[in-house]
Amino acid sequence: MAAIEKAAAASRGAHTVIGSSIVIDGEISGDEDLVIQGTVKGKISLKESLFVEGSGVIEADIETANVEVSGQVTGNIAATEKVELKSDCKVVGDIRAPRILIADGATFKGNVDMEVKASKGK
Amino acid sequence: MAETSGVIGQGTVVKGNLSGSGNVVVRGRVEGKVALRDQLSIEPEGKVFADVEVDDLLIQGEMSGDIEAADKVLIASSAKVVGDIKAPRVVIQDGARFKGSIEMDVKLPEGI
Amino acid sequence: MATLDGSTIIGESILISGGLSGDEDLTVRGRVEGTVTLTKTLTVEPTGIVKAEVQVKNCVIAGVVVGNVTASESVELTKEGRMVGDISAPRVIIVDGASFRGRVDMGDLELPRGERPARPAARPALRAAARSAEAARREEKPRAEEKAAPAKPPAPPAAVGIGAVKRKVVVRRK
Repeated sequence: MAAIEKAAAASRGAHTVIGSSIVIDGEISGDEDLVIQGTVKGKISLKESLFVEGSGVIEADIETANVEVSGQVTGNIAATEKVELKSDCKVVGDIRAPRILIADGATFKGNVDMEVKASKGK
Repeated sequence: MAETSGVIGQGTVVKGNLSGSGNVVVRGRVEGKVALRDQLSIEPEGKVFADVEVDDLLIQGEMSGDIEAADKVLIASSAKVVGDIKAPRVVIQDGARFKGSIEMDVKLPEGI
Repeated sequence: MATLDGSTIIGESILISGGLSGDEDLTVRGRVEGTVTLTKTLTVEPTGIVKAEVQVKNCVIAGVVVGNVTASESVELTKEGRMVGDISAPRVIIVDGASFRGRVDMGDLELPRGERPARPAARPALRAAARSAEAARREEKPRAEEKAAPAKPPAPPAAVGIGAVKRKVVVRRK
């Protein structure tokens, strides 16, 4: 199973994949796409896209360009481009982004703010 | 390449200071202090219990003592070494047994 | 590119600061600071920097590691590897070209009697060394292992396994 998921991540061109058995307690930052299949507690700050896959569990504030959530996120999300909550995901926290998509079946609890003042220098 | 200037045979025990130039091969036992300008080679049956100062050190046998090499220390897979090593190049082969410290020049990136 | 074989890759521009643990292989091309605890293999690639206390099964260092590494199986420093810290593992391989500064502990190391020579400053020890040398000459047949010296060695025995943890040594010839 993990191999198939990794293949999907590879097809997205992601260079960093946090596997499902990995637990990170701290801060992650970077300039590339990040795929999370494991658990992250703390803070995530990226200039590109964050993909939280089905097995991913995030307890952190997220700041990035794009987020796509299929797993669980507890924390505030601030994206300069888009936030997409796919079906079966579970998100608790406030979302701030100019574009937000919430699929049928997604579970979401929090505030939504679609007015982003200025896009973070890209 | 310097020629072999000394061989300490298997049944021989040398106690004291061993110094000079040329390559020395140890198949016996050396205790004390070794200071050579070229290479010291401790063969598999050799045992050296001494502080060693050489250009090049090859250990296939046993050694206990501090090592200062100007060029390289190679701890081969049959070796058993206890001691502190100071050299620009140190190689430890798979299977070698070693306990001690190693000091090579380590260039780290900025900000570490 | 992300691997298909079930391992985690930390890309070049990623910085993780905190504790990282897991049950899979981890390849670091970016930077990890804090602690790394894995039941499998940590590979630090040439662009990778790990400034952390590392506890793993195997560790392959082709990048920079600053911190202590404890491995239950092996630690290998490749030609591009650079490390400052202590290594504790039953198997340690340092390839020519690597640079390292720190201690290496492979576990129990039995050395025959007559370990560290007496330092010049210790006078009484010199006499003890002379006594042990005579004892050595008396029983001069070459022996594979000589334990229990008749005379006391001048310095405390270098590597005696009293209370030391026994590690399983895996010797694999390449």
